[in-house]
Amino acid sequence: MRTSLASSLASVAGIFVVLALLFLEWRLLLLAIPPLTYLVLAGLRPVRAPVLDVIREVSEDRAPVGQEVSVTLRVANRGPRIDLLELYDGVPREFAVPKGRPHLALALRNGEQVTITYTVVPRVKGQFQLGPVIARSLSPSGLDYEEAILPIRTTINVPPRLEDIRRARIQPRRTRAWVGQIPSRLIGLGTEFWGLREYVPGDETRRINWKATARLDRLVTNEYEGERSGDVVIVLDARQEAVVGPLAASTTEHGIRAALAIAAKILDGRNRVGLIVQRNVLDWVYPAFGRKQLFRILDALVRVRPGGEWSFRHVSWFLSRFFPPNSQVVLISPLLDADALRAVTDLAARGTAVMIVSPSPIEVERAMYSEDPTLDVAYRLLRMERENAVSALRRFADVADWDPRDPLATALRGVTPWPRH
Amino acid sequence: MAPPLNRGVWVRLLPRTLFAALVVWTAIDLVVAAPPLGWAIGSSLLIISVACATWAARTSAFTWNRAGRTLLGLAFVGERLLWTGADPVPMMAFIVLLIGLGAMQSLERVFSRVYAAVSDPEILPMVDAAAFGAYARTLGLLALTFVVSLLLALLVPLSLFRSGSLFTAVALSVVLIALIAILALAPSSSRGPEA
Repeated sequence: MRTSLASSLASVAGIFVVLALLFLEWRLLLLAIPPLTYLVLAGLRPVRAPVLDVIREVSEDRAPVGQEVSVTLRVANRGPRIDLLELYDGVPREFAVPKGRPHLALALRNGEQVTITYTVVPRVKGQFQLGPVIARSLSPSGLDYEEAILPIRTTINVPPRLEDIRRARIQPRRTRAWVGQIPSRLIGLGTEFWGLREYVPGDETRRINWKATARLDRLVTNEYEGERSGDVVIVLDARQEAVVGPLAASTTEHGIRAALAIAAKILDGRNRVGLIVQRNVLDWVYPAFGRKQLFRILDALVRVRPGGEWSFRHVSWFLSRFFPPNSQVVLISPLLDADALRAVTDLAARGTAVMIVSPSPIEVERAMYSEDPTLDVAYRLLRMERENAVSALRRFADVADWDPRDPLATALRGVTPWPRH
Repeated sequence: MAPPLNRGVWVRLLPRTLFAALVVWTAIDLVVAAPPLGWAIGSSLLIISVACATWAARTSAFTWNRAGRTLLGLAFVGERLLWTGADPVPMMAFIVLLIGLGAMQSLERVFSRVYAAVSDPEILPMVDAAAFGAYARTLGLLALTFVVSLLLALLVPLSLFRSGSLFTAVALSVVLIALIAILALAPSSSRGPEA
């Protein structure tokens, strides 16, 4: 393949020839000879496409944000000697390369092998691919090269960081028939004492309250408050309109972290959790129990990229049609537009229990421009405006106004526990 | 074994020295032969050319090298044709060196990045072999180009051009332009990419 230098030389030679013809000046024609000679001589020994065996190994194929992943590339030359081989390994731009470089230029004899080692650090969550490997055999004349693109790809899953919210009191407001960990205000299977009643045949012996039996001179049985589980649907607002800040520290990225932490916490309490992601399309995961569900949600969250303009009306419709009725809705949104505020009001009007976790866009921007004192007044005004909006929403929902620089648990501490139904 | 920093300096040194030498050559020609107006225009071109090369070196934006080379070539050829006189041998030598500068700057672009990152003692000899071989072959090719160009200048019947026959001049120009087109547009004769 010709390089731009070859085209430049041909152009220069052509210009000299045309000028010589115009002015009928033979000395100008002489000047066309060196570029032409160089082109001819360099073309006598063309470069060959590299024939390589390449193997890539990574230390981790699942690494959280900020963790180093060591990449080893083993390259063996299976063709003739390559005098000047340039190798590039494709590294996504979301990765930093703190040690080594995925780029090398070297000479490789037939059968010779080289090992390139470098380290990458993912800066944002997502599913990324290393590769392909691009090998170029360069001509030292700078006039041509031959390229081989080796389609060797390695997938690295970068999950978001899991926030520790074990102490937060989050649970579904409404319970279902399944056994769980939420006191249901109904008599049933559980551990919390509820009351006493006359013994009926079939009661378990261990439930007999012997002190009460002795006092009343008849068999009395303990009753317990049933512990049930409920359904929660997490709605993540990842629309283009809801993105504030650089991608790695945007409101959407913080929202993803919050969604994962809340899903893990609620699933730990033996509840069903589902997910709706509002972006270019409506991604959704139907509610289910257990650790597998956490991985399903994690996989859906890893792929989230902000974008799209889906209206909240579609989410409400989707919830009412495809998700269990009376599910608790946890809306994760920076609440930047009137559509989000209207959606909360609509859901509350339909009797849906709503909780809002709102990564504050003002704090995200504040962190970006923290050194500019002139923005203090603007910050205070925006802060007041947001507090007003949050106060208005608190009539319909529990709202956690979250400064993403603080742990999520701190924001959730301010949320009152939901009254049980 | 020299540390990588020194190797990085070495791969930069050759093209930059060559560039500096070509700038000095052009400047001397301007001072010696050009009138004040020519001196002003030529020196402006040289200053912009040096600025382009400096910018390319400081920011690693190597595309600026191309602009630097073009301006340098323009200043030299213009000055020779207009004032000093078109003595073919030094002009051909200058053009060969300018071509070499282009080739070496492309090698500099490759190796300066590699030497900035590689410190593995097992890989460094392979990189050294590639760098040494590439620079040596480039210099050899340049020398051969100059010699062959001189021979061609003697052998090609350029006197026909001088004879004043328009038909001959056009025919010779068409042949040369066809040759240029073939060289510029023909694909490389090697095999296609293999994986």
